Amino acid sequence: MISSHEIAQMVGAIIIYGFFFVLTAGLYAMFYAMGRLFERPWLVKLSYLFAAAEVLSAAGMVATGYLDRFWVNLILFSAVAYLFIPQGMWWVVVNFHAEYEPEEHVH
Amino acid sequence: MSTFAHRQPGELYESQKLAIWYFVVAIALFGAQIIFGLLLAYQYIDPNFLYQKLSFMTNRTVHLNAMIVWLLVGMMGGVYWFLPIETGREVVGIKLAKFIWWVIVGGVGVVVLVYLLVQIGPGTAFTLWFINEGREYIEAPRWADFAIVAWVAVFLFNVVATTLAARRITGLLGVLIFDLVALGALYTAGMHYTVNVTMDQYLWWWVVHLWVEATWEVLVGVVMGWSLMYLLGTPRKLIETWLFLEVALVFGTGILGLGHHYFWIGTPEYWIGLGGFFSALEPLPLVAMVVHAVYDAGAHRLHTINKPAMMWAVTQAFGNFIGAGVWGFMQTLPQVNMYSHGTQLAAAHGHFAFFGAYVGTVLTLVYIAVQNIGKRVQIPLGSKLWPWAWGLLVFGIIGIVASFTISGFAQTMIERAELGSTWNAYIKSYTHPWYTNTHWWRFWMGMLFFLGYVLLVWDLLTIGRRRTANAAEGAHD
Repeated sequence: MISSHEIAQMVGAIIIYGFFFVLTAGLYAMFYAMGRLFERPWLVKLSYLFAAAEVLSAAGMVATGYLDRFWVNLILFSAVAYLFIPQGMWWVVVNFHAEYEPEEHVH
Repeated sequence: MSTFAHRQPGELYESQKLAIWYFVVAIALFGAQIIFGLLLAYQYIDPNFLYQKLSFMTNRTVHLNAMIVWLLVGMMGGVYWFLPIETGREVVGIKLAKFIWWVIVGGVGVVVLVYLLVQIGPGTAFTLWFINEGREYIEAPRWADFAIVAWVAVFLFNVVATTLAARRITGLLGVLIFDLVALGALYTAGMHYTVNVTMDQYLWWWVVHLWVEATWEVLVGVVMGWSLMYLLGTPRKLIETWLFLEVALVFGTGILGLGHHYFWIGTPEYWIGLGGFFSALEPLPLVAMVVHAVYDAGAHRLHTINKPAMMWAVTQAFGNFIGAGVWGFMQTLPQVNMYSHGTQLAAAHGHFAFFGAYVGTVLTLVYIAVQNIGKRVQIPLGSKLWPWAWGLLVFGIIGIVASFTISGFAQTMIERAELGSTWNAYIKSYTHPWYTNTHWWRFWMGMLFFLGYVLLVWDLLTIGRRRTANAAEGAHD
């Protein structure tokens, strides 16, 4: 049987991993977009480090063992979705701007 | 009129003059919110402070309700500012709009006096109608509830009648009209009276989540759309396409994401899965919007005629993501929420999300208005003071949120998860250094935030004057 102390440790771990999960996903999106916008490949590469940190944070949440299968699947789905959001959103943004704002600096 | 019909400075519409009064009230109530927040912060340190004179409960009520009212007033001011520009004509029913403004300002004054002087009453219909309904965040007596609904109805009439009179409906106006219908209707969900606590909480969350977090988000989308057209010259088609996308994304995850408030109030168990699932997906559109914000800011190199407004617009984009997305996700899973619900972790999320999503928006609008008040030359707006005000407000809120987060984490771990919410658990949690020390941090960070507010007010009062003086000097030369 899991003690209340162990439950507290797992809950604390999920809070901290959850914090880094969304934060690193946002930093990945931010640096990816900046790298593409200013044509700085090193920034795009840096963004992949945050993508890796996002996946590790998701793995950390799952590894606590506190979440059942439904929630593990949801976290894993979100982790994968976050990986593709910056690229997908970049494509959408560039195409929207190219259509409506043709004079803008679009890569 | 495919783009924005800029009017010459010095020719304000009556609606824009009214908007300025809305902004004045908003900024004054912002100050009241901070002062009562500071009183609360100090009462955490010394519970005897103002004992039996100005209780913690009263200060909290004024702090929270001032926040709701000033942000709504500020955003409505933004609509009154941009509506005549959007339609190219004066707002229809402007006299009624001015009348309801006086009703609301008088009403807010009476409600605050009742909060401060009367506070509570017997559990009768009289209390419900004339003192307080006892609903957190919107602790208004019922007569004030009706005044708020009438206020939104007049506002809706102004928008619809002006749109019809202009014989022109844009995507932004269409979204605004539908949103205002929901804004008025959803507020009434908090006016039902029932002795069933579960039912009461169920409907009350509609007001907090669907009213504040959904209809307000759409209102923000509309006024920020106008703001970006003004600040960056972003094409209307682009703004409207993004707005439709944003509405779909926000509503897609947000409406059922409301279920995370139903976890522990006695509702059926399926809300745990349903609410948890959509809540967990809520940060996805926010991450997507980060890409858009970076593109917009970077593509234009932040070249704008109004630097403070632009900075607050950027703060809004990132603050919304961090406050609502990061701090929201930390405690949204039901397995965590079971222990964190109602702790200061929730307060941390609330402070950051409201600052990011709404304070940034209203201050963007206020600086846009400041640039156009009076007979002035349309030159770039800037001062040495506004970066200090911006920096202190942002640094202050980060400090306040960090303090709340640490104390909330201690509560969640010690009081709830480990010791099971016993009386002993409360004592141990509330005397833990992670809890007690953060009270001081929060207070001093609150003082910095207040200093930022003072500089903000000073800047708003003087930035235009210096600009006018400089312009006059330039013209003279």
